[in-house]
Amino acid sequence: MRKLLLVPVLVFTQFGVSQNTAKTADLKSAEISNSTALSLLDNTSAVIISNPDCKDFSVNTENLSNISFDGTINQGKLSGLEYYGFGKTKEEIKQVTWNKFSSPTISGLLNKNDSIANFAVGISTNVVTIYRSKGQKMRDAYGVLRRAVDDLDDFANEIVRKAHPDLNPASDEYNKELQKTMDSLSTKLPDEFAADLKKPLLMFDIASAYSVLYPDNKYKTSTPDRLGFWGTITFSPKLQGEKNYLNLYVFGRYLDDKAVYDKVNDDYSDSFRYYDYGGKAQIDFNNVSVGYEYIVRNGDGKDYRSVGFVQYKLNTDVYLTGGFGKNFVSDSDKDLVSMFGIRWGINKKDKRDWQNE
Amino acid sequence: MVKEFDTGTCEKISTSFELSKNKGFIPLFTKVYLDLQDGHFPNQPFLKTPEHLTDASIPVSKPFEHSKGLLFYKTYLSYKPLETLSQKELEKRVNALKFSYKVYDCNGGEKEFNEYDFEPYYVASKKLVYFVNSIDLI
Repeated sequence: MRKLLLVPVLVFTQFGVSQNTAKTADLKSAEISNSTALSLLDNTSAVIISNPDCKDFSVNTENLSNISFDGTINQGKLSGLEYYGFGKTKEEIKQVTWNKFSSPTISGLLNKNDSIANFAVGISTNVVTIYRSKGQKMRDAYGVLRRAVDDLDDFANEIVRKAHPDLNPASDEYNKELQKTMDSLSTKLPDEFAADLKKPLLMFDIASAYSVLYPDNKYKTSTPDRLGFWGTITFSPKLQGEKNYLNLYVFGRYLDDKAVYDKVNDDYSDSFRYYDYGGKAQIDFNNVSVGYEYIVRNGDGKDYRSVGFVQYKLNTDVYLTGGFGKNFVSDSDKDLVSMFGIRWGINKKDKRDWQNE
Repeated sequence: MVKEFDTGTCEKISTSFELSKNKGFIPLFTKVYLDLQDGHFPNQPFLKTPEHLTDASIPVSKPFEHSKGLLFYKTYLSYKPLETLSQKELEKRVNALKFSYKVYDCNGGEKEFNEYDFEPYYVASKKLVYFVNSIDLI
């Protein structure tokens, strides 16, 4: 009976198990799947992820048995280009920035059913970001963009004033005309600065997370579950074409799992230590992303994970994703991963719907 | 809603503008015009974000004569780095932006306005969005 009751725990906590037993994840789940806490529990669609987004603090409460939260602490005012690790002046635009380190993202989740509760917290941050252009080149590119928009505004205003001399420039009517005029002009704005910001050459992120189990939903029965530390390096050399990039990821993780199912004693007293390392390669060609992830497991149990995936962007909001491969072997001896799904309305990250067998 | 600033007996006032909660936009500049309500809206702004700043702000200006006119602000941001976001997500980030328009009188008083006029104006082909705001000086 106890084993049956603890099946949901296995689903949630054991390496790869969540991905072996879950059916298609709903899109709400996909939205939060990059949380560090979930990564510790391997309850994410991709183990190797890079997540530099600055998030507002939010709590997701579908019900009292499934609560998660995440948010970036110490964001500051974000008045200028702090989001990218710079500041409010041109002098602060540099090729290498360490500034995002002081704004980590924390995340956590509480998952409870009739027999057990699981609580996990995590923290992740970017150690260093290296942009592909030199600082001076980026500062110049910013200035060029700014002047181009200034000129565009002046030119469009001149056109609208001549066409609608009676409209007040502070009125909504005037500005709708201005908006239309600017939109219709063939002027091409320089986008070197935006391209630099959008895709840094190299990022190094670190993360840590800790989880606790509460069998029988009792506080006094709490038992340590997992403690993990990991780092991810993301290298993105540019390929030919404006939107074509090769993304290479290098990943290393130490994991101390203190609640592993012991088949002999039929309990969760085994303590395993894992040393995972691996990589992922992903190529983005316009609307298609093709990738492959491989992770080797050493320590108390040798294993590997090998998953390939493809993503097709139908339009700005709708993505088709699919993948297939081998996951870490679970306690139920399953290691097949297959996934297919559609996602929409969320930005382009390593988020996917999964359907596992 | 018409925004008003009571200049009282002050012939000169000052102003400033600051943007915050900017998650990924490239702040470009803010232009400030002073319409003296003489039938001619000026073509050129009398204040503009200084070249060395990357936050589209207007630092507290030197006192200027206002003649109980109209202050008009226009702020440009580029969302080119966020172009992979869905429109819904983009609008969410636009709505999260905080605007602080301040006007100062000659007696140390100040008033802050946090709302811009109308809706954001998206220039989709250029990946630009701009905001306007008017403050009536009475």
